[in-house]
Amino acid sequence: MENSRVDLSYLETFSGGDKILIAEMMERFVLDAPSQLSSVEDSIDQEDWKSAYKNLHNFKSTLNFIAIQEIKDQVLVMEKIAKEETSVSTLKEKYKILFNECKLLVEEIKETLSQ
Amino acid sequence: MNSPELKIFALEDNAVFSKMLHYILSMDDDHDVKMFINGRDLLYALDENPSVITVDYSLPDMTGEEVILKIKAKLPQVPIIVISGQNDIQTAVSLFKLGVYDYITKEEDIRERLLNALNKIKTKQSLEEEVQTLRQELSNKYEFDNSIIGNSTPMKKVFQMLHKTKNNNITVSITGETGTGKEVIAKAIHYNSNRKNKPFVAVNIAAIPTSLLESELFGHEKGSFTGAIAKRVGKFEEANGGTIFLDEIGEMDINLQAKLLRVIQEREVVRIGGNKVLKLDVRIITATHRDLSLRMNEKLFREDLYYRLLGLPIHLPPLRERENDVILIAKFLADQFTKANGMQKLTFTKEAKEKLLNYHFPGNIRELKAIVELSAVMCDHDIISDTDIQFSSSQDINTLLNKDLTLKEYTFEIIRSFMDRYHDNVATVAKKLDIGKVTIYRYLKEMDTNS
Repeated sequence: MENSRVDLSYLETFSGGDKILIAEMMERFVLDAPSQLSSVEDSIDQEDWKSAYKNLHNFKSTLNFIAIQEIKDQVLVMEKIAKEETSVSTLKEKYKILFNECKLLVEEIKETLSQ
Repeated sequence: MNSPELKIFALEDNAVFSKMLHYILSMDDDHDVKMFINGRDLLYALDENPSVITVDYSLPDMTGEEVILKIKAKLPQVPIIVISGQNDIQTAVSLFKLGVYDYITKEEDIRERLLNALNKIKTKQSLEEEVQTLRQELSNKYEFDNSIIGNSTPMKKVFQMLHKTKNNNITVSITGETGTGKEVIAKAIHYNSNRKNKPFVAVNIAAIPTSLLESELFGHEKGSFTGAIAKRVGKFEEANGGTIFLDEIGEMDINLQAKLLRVIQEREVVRIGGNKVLKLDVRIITATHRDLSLRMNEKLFREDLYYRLLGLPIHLPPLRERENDVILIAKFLADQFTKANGMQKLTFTKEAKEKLLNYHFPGNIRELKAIVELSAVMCDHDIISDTDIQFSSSQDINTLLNKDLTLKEYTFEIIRSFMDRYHDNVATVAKKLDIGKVTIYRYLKEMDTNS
């Protein structure tokens, strides 16, 4: 079985183990993540570095309490590229990886919620 | 101490984190939480007077710094907690310089840190409210009509003068015998002025050795003289913005008077051994039981300082000149004593009142207080009768000793007192004082000649 992309430890600590809240937050992530990712993609496509940085920074907060460290690190790297305005192509490549990872993450959360 | 309700404004643009933040902040029933997703909406709502604001450092419409500066400009006292996605020390330091209360990163321990910060703010605000309440109580306590009792003709004049001190910063000089309530009057002036929320600092010049007084008044820097092991803030600096009360000003050493004059003229002070000039905004109230004009004639008080300090002179009459005030004050003091000791309210018999009215109270209100308190303890059935009122002779002695007399003059006073007590019987007086009759006759002759 493939390794899980979900890490609820932050959320557990944050909520004090409140199961209802954890479920609500997972639902919230499923709803919000696609639009946030879409905003990131748009800003990268338009080569709008400032917006890219802001959107990635914002998405980092969303991912922070639900995703494993590897995905968070991926966003952190992208945020740095956007801030330093180094390479659009690298950013685009990394976005594709992030998008796929997040897609799988959302599916996994959906599955958890349906159980 | 009750925890006050905390009105929290939280600015967080990330919808998911915002939900989490709302959850944490709302855990306490005393928290009234309002969430904002952009800086503009938050700034618009500042009129609602939040008690604390949390700010996400990265915002869509403006920078965190911009929001903080705008909040500080409008609500400088409201604590701001910055919640940031990045653990950046430089940012944190610059934010603290802007006056931010706390900087919390979105780490796993955020819940604990945030609640901890809010609890600290609640404790601080609770203490501030308590201080405000106490200040108000103090202010009410020292309302002229609450703190000064009396409707005698000389006191009506005092009240008139006190009202003249209200809406200005004029220097006030209070004179009156020991025990007439000079400090109470000084406090009343302060707490009825627009300086009432600032410090009232009282300094008894007579109680501080001359060698220490300069440092006490003006402060000193560490190492400025032997024994100055630490920096000391002087009383003038301590009273800045408020009032300094210089009691027994007539006792001040002539050399120090020159330094005091300079401070008063320049409205600035330099600590002993220091270079920094500290600007002063202090109202000065002085008091003395002496006649300062006489001290001035004797070259014991500087003329220039005398006129600087004279300002609005208020003379407090001795209790013996205050007609029926003695009874009003006695009743007030009895009520105060019974309240403080959980006793029944006391009343005075007609004879007791007459006894009080016929006494000359050399120790003034201070003496009356001691007499009333003793009678409150001695009386039966909540009624103070004339037999419960005892005038202590030791108070006469204290009054006598408070006078500035020569040894010979003291001796005359003693002889005179004993002669009165023993109905001019020289033999008895000589026996009581353990001296020869000839000596008594000699003193009487001298006294006669002097008078």
